[in-house]
Parts: sequence; structure tokens; C-alpha cells
Amino acid sequence: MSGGLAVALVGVVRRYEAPGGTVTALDGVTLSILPGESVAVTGPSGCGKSTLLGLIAGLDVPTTGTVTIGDRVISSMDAEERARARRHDLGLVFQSDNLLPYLTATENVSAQIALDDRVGAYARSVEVLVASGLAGEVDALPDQLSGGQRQRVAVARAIAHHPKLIVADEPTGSLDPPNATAVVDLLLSAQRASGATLVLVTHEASVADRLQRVVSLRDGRPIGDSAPTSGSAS
Amino acid sequence: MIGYAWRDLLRNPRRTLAAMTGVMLGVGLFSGVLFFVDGSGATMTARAVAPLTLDIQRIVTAEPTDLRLSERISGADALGGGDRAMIEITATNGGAVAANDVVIRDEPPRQLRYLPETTTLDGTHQPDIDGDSPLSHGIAGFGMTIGRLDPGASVSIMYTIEATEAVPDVGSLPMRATISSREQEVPIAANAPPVLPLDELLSQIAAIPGVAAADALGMVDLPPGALAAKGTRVGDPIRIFAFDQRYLDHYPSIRIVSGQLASSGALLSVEAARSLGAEPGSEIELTVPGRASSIQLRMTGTVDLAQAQPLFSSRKASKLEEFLYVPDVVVISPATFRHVIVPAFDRARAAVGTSTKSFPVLEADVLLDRGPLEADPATALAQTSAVTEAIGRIGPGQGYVIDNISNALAVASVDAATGRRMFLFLGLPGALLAAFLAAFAASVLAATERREHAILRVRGADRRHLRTIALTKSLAIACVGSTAGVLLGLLSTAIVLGATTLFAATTAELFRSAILSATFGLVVTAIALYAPARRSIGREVSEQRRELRDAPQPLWRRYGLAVALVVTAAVLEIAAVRGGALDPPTGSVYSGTAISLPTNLLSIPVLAWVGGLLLSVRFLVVLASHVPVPAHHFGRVVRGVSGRNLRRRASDLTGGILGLGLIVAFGTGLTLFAATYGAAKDADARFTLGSDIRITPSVLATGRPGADDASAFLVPGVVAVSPVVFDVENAVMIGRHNQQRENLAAIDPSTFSGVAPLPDQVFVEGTGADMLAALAADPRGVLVDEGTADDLSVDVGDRVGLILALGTKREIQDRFRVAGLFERFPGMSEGANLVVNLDRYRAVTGVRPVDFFLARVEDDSAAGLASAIGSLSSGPGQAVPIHIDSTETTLAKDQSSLTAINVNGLVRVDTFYALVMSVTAIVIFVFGLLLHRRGEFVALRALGMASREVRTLVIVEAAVVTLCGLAAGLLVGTLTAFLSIGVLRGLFVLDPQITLPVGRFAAIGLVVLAAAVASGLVAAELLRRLDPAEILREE
Repeated sequence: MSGGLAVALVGVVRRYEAPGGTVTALDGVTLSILPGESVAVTGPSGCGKSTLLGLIAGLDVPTTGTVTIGDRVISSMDAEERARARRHDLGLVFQSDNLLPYLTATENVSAQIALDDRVGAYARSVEVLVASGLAGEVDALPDQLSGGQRQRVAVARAIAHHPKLIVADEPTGSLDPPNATAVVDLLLSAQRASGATLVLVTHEASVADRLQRVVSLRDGRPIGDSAPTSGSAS
Repeated sequence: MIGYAWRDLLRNPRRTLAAMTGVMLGVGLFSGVLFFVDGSGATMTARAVAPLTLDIQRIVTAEPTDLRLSERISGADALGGGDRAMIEITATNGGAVAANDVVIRDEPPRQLRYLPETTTLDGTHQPDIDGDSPLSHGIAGFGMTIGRLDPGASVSIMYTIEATEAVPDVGSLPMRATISSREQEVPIAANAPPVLPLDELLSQIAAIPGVAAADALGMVDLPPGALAAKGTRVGDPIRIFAFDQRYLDHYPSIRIVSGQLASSGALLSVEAARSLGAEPGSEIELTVPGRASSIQLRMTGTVDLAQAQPLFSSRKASKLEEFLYVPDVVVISPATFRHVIVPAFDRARAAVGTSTKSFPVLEADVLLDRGPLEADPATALAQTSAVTEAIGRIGPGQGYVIDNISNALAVASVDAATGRRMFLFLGLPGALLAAFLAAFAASVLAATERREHAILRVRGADRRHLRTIALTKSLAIACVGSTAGVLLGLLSTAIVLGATTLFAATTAELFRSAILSATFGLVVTAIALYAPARRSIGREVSEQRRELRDAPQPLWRRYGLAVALVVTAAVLEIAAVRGGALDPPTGSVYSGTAISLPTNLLSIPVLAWVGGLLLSVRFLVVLASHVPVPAHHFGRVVRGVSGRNLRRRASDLTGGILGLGLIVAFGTGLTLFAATYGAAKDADARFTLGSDIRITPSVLATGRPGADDASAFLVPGVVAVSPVVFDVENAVMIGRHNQQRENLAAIDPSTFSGVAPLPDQVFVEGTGADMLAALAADPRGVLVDEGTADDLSVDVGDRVGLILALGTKREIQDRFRVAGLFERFPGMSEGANLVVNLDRYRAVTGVRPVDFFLARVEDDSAAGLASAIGSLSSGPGQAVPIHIDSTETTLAKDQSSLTAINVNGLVRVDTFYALVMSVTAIVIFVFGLLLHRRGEFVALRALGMASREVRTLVIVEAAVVTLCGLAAGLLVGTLTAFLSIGVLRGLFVLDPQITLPVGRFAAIGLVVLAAAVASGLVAAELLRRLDPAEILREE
């Protein structure tokens, strides 16, 4: 078990310059996530969920405020340091799988492990894929897989290098309910197995309810932060 | 919709610029080639006529004579078929002296038939000869010999004819009778107008529009001993020239050294004056046939005629280019020539048993006003031909015309047309490439375009709206791209060709080229941008998706176009080789024969270029798809990702490799072609001249240098010198069965190889070194040219007789042995037929002076040559007046105007565009890569890949495309250059040797690689600046 990383956002504001003027995507968000906790971020479209996730993943930096992952202030790092932090400690799942089309399922997962400079990437990839229910698809190219299978490969890629923080941006957004359930199952079981922190953006209540904690956003501000009602305890 | 299209163009500047660059480069290169052709063609007339010293010669064959001949058909104005009539011929001698050996010849016109046994002479029946009329009998149509015709006497000949068809107007029938005599060898036609006196002929010629001057020139050869002064006689043959001060003014190659031309006296050539020890004021004697006493003339000066082309150019139709120099010359006034020399020869000719071989020749030498000649050689040819025809119409039948300027222009006009085709074949592939580039840019952007069209359709736009948008955008890109391209073409041509040469073309020509180029731009845009867009708009999305799925390979791969093109090129090449199309040239600028470059020969390299590239790309793609990838080991991330990308998406690289390869092949082929072309020109010039420099001692030199003086010319910059004796028809070779006059060169075998190029290809069965060794080993050896050996039926090892120093007082016969055969021998522009050892020549003839020295310089660049020439002029040239020719001057005057055209200039224009296009192609490829793959690259960044690793991925892919494009381009470019160079064989004396410009190749490679790396770096930087969160959401 690798353990999880705490996430702390303090007074985070994120503004964008747009043709129509300045847009405030996040407006003074302060949020603490404990190590090993699984948190769903919900809210209507345009409320700042993905922006929040991008800041936690180090894909973006806040206009003001700080984002701390573990004991490192990621919002103060330059792009290369943030990339380094991502390759070691972070597992990312996007709404669309974003698999590299010229790599097989195993190779897509291996690429993430290789980024982390770990040896035995191929064997570990196969192990994770088998655990993800893709034993028969390890050598398949993304074009040869269904949407649900591709997303499971994407989850496998996100967890294969034992990240301490898993960040998923609407991973079930383009999937049918059975596949969505399978993907969330996969994420949660990996999170539980590794003790990693999981932050998942979703607008589906059924998905959010399965996580320990739900943070709701509206117009860039947290409007609710509650313990999960069901599904995550056991 | 138009407003939308306009905003689309302005708000997507990179996309607009990418599409416009292709159009602009295409139009730029196309118009550049056309402007180049305009500018070069505009100077072709001037270049073609520049070496000519004598434009037109009217040789007088009929001098005023007292013999008259009339012929008419009597008794009828018209004849019906089968009607008969009499033909009456009357010959009269109206002069004061008898005409001897008078011969009258006649044949009835075509519509009439001679009735046998009807001829009478002064009423006496003249029997037919072997069934033929006595006025035209035998195969040669011999005439009737009348014999002597006394002064005032006349004879009448009559015969009967029968009309074979109706003749409505008897007076219009051409009468064919002629009369000649021993005194009047050139037959005079019946009913001919009176022979024009020379002065009248000259004034009529001078009045023809376009004629700048018409001057009389008389000449005749006298035997050795005919010139004497102070009791000394010149032992060599003498030539008399007669011209006046105006002639001297018009032909500056005749240089008065001392004294002046005077109507009552005579000028002597420097050589004749030296032989006689005569000085201005001395009395000279000329012994002329037909005169009992010699002619006494006062010497008024000396003249240097060593460069006098108008006087010594051969008048024989088959040898017009030969300079037949006679050293001992007397120049007299035209009046003396006509009133003293010509009558003397007339008397000599009239004397029975005369042995005089040479008779006076009179001619009108015509200079044209070259200013008004049109720049285009074909138009100029029409102008000069009109003048020639006008000259020919004056005194018809009384002479003939040698039209040197029209000969030169006829060759130049064919050369100009050939040059235009060659230019187009050299330049057009580049223009096609630019079209390809525009299409490549469009294909890269096609996906974006399709997406936008789909959005517009969703918002309610129909196909008509989309077509309007596509048309507006295409027109805007075509107009702006074409205008910019024409300006770029004009600018690039002006830089390379020089503004003066470019604007020597007429405004109409340049305007026509600009319009043609703009039309080309529209066509390119239509093919590259509008047609695919329109096709895409016309189909449903599902239809396009199906096509994309079903046809993953481009059309050219599916239909085997590569193999078809390569096979066609191979078949054409084999046919050309077997048909002798690539054999050495037979053309000569002097004989009016142009060099031909058939279009099918020029098309072979183009076919090989496209076919070869397509084939190479297929091969490289197959090769890339076999990049080894370990099955159970990913390896380091960059290597693992890029290796698998190359292996599995090799066909995605096809467009980039093909585009770059085509451009690089084009540039490489042109560079190799230009280098070989330049080297072949230089090699030809060196072969023609014999070395880098030819030093000819001037006739003004008092003591002409001999072979032993060669070392005097070893000045700084000159590393080797070799003496040569050479002249035209200075020897006779005697074989077993016959003999003939030949051009003999005597060389020093030990030093000749050190100065002259001796390519083995010009020797038969042996190398140049072998031949010189044979001459050195056997002083009695002679090298013989193949043609002469055939004519005289001699072969290597045969004994032959040679008469050396022919026509001089040193003339002598000796035995030689054929030591070797050659096709051409270097250093003798008029062509040597025989080559002997100089030591032997000197020993046999006793002749010490040599005709010229060949010298090799240390540095054969233009600067090196100039430096060596400067050293020679300021050194030995001060002691002995010398004339120096170099390979530079030979290039200017001795080569076909086709080889004189500025191929290097065109290649510079093409190379510039090729480089710009290469860079553009790789930039379009890299940014296309960025456009298509940014989602992948950003995902990798999101997964934690460092910027430098992403940069490496981009650069690796760009580098692979660049290296593959370079490799394929260099390979195919070299192949096409080989084929193009095969075509060149028709232009040069020697086979062009492939010249690899390694430096230029490296420069092309480095520029393209640098462009690839630079665009890769820029692309990676742009990637770094993208917002990953936004891109990942979009993708």
C-alpha cells in the first residue's frame, strides 16, 4: 500500500480572460482532503468542477491562493516540476480515454509506468489489465476496444504506477450505466487497495454517492461538503 | 457567406498563410521561369550575332561581258497540245576581242518537246548526238561547242519543238539557253539583263533597308615568287586583297601597323614585308599571269591580318567556319584590282594552254544594321532573310549570297526554342511541386475544414452557402497568392539574371508571362483547394467516412502509379539509347544546323522523378513499418513511444516524405545537372582550346619564337607550356591508293600531356597517354583521325607518306608510320587530322618557329586565368607581341548559343525556390503534426511527460520524415540528373562527366534538417503553451 496524499486548497481563485471579459471559474475555494479519502466533486455544468480538478492535478495554477498536495505547494511549482509530480504521485483519468491510438492496451499502461522510470512495466501492465477484467485485450489497440474497455484501460493506466492521488474527470461521462459502474468499481477498489486519495468529478449522483465525501460547487464556490450517505463505507 | 469567408481567412492567419504559401511559391517559380525565358531570349540575338565578323557576302560570278545570248519561240503567241513551233537562239560577241571555246546549251521548257534532227546552226543541220539534241546531250546535258566567236560576229541556232500540253502564253515560258566561253566560264543565261557593274551592285545593296554598309572586296592568289622587292622574292604563295578605306573602317580586325592605305600604292602584310625587308616607300613588284611585265607598286604601309576573319574565312560552303590564313599578302586598291589585275587574269584565261589555278574573286561584303534586329532570333532571322532575298534579287543569276548572319540566327532561333523547352522542363517540376505543396497544406487542414462545414450545416447552411464560402476563400487565396507570386518571380529573376537583361524583354512579353503565371495560380488553387472542398461539400459525412475506411491507401498506391511511371521512363530511355538519340552531336552553328533536344528525352527525367519518388516512399514506409519493437518490454518512454508510433503509423508519414522527397530530388537533380553542365562547358572549352591558355605569337613579332622558347612563358601562375605547330591544310597524307590534304599538328609529346586534356574517349583503341608515348617512342609515328584513316584506307602500323609544310618553301615529303587513331584531338579548333612529333617535324622541314604555345595555369578559375594572362602580358608579352586566348574567351565565341545560355542562372532561381519549398514542406508537416496530434501530446504531458521529452517526440518524427525525404530525394534526384545529363550529350563535344557538388548537397541537407529541427522546437514550444485542461476536454 502506497498511502494517500492530503490535498489542501486555500482561497483559490481562478480567472480566465475571454473575449467577453474576465471569467471567474473558481472564486475563493478553500478545501481540505485527507490522505486516503475519496471525494466526489459535483455541481452543474460550468460551476468550476474541472477547473478545480485541473488545479489539483497540477495541469493549471490558480490566479490567487494555494494548492498543496501532501507537503508540496503544487501551485508554486513551474510546469516541469508539476509534470514530475504528476508522473510519480498522480493518476489521471479523463472523460474521454485519451489513450495513444498506436499503442496496445498494455503499452498504453506501460508508457505511464515507464514515465515513472520503474522497471517491469510490461508485467505490471498486464497484471493491472487482468485485474481490470481485460485479460483478453492486453494486446488490443484502442480502436479494437469498446468505449467501456478503453476507459478501463485508462483507469488501469492511472493506477498502474501506484499513485498516491487519483484524479478523475467525469470518467463515466460517456459510458452506459453498466460500464460506468465497472469503471467506478475499478477506481474505488484500486483506491482502497493502495490507500490513495481519490478526487473524482462527476455530475452523476449515483457515482458521487459511492465516494466517502461529496463536495458541491456552484458558480465557482463550494456550497456543500457532506459525508457520503451510502456505498463508500464498506 | 462572403463576409464569413473573409473573416475566416483573417482570423485563421496560419491556415490562410499555409495555403497561400503554396500558391505564391508555385506562381513565383512558374513566373520566374517564364521571366527567365523572356530575359534570356531577349539577349539571344545579340549573343548569336556577336561573334560574326561578316554578315552577308554577295559573291560576284558574272562580270560585265561582251557575250550576249537571246532566245525566243517564233511563229506563235499561244500553243495547243501537239502544236509545233521554232525556237531561235542568237549568240553575239559585242566586244573587241574574240571569244574562244564558246559553248551554247539549251533544253526546251517542260511543256515543250524537242523534235529530233531539227537543229540548225546558221541554217546548217546539226545532227543529234546519240538520239539527244546537240544542245543538251548525254547524262550531263553537254551543250554545243561553237568554237571561236570573233568580235562583232553572231551565230543563229534554231530547232523545232512540239507542245506536250496547251501553252496559252508562249512569252511566259522560261527560256533556258546559256552561253559560256573560255574567258567567261560562268554560263550567261539567255535574255539575261546586262551584268551590273560592281559599283552599281554596291549602291543598290546599300540602299536596301537594314543594310548598314556594302563594301567591295577583291582577292586572288598568286604563286610563290610572285612578290618581290629590293631583289628579294617571297618563296611562299601570295594573296592579293583589294579594298578601300571604308572597308578598313568597317572591319577593325584588319589592323594597319605602319603607313596607310593609299589608292595608288600597296600595303604589305607584316610577314611579307619582313620576308622582303621592305618598308613604306619601297617599290614592290607583282608578277601576275596574263601580263608580260610585272606590276610596279609603291609600298605605303604594313598591315596585321592575323585576326582578319572577314578576309580569311573560308568561302567554301562546307568549310565556312575555317580561318584559312595566308601570311604573305598584298593589299591594293579596288581600282588597281579591277583595271590591272582582273584584265591580266582575263587575258591569261583566254590564252590557250593556261595553267593558272586561281582567278580573281569579287564580292560585296555586307554589314547589317544590327540595332533594329528583333531580340527574338526567329523574328531577327525573318528580318535578315528579307535583306538576303533583296540582295539576291539584284542582278539575278549574276552571283550568289553567303548569308552568315541568317545561318547563325537560324541556329539561334532553334536554340532559343530548345532552350525554352529545356527551361520549362527544368523549371516546371518546381511549379508542380508548389501545387503539390498547396494541396499538401490543404490536406493537412482538411479535417478542420470538414469540422467547420459540419458546424455550419448544423446551423442551417446549405451546400450552396458552403460552396460560396469555398469559392470566396479560394479566389482570395488565388488572387493574393498569385499577385505576390508574380512579384516574387520578377524579383528573384531580376536578382539572378540582372534587371538589364530581364527588362531587355518587351513589356508585352513580360505581361504575357505574368498573366500566364496568374492563370497557373488560379488553376493550382482550383486543383489544390477548391476542387477537394467542393467535392467534400457535395457528399454526406457518412459517405466520406465510408470512403476513408474503405480506402486507407492513397490513389497512387492503389493503382501502382509508381511502377507505371518508372517503367515508362525506362522504356523511353532504352528507346532513346537504341535510337541513337543520346549519341554525340552533329550540329554546328556555322553550317546552320541546330542541336536538337527532343521533348520525349526531356520528359524521361520528369517521369523518373515522380515515379522514382513514389516507389522510394513505398519502400521507406515498408521499412519504417518494420522498426523493431520488443514484444514484452516497453523500454524508455520516449524510445518506446516514438518507435511504436513510427512502426504503426508509418503511412501517416507518406505525405511529408513524398513532398519533401520530391522537392529535394528536384533541387538535387538541378544542382547535379548544373554542376555537370558547368563542368562540361569548361571541359569543352579546355578541349577546344587545348589547355587553359593559348599563346599565339603575333605576326608583329620580329623573331617568332620556336619550341625552345617555351620556357619563356613559364611565368608566375603558369605551370606548364607546350609548343604546337598547326595550320589548316598544311599537309598531304599519301596512302596506298590515294592522297588528300589534311590539317597537321606537330606536338611535343613530352610536354603536351602536361598541358592538354587527353580524355581516353577521343582515342581509338588506346589511351591518350598511350598515343603520346607512341609518338615519343617513334619519331616517325603519326596519329591519324579515324575519318582520314578510313578515307585513305590506312590502319595502325601502316606506312604512309606525308608532305609537310605544304605550300611553303619548306615543303617536303617524308615517310611515317601510323602509330594510333583518334576521333578528336585537343587544342586545334579547326580540327587536326594528323599529329606528328614536333622534333621530327622540325628535323624534316627545318621550320623552327611554332604557331602557338599551350599553357596550363595553376588556378583555372576566372581570377587565376586573369592573373596568369596579366603575368604573360607584362612579362614575355613585352618582348614578343603575343595574342592570348583562354577558356573564358573560347566559351564566349566557339560554343553553340544553346550552351551559352544561362542554365546556372535558372538553376539558382530553381534552387532558391526548392529550398524555400523544402522548408515550407517540413514546416507544414510539423505543424500538421501539431494540429492532428496535439491531443496525444497534451495527454502525455498530463500523464507527466516532461516538455523536453515531448519536444524529442516531435523532433524525432520530423527528423525521420526529413531524413527519409532527404534520402529518397537525393537518390531519385541523382538518378534523374543522370538521365538529364544523358540528354546533355547532344550539346557538348566531350561526354559530360558527372560532377557531384558534395558541398551543395550537404548545404541542401543541412538547411532542410535545420528547418525540421527549428520547426520541431517551435511546435514543441507551442505545445507547451497550450492549456492541457482545455485541450483534454475538447478532445
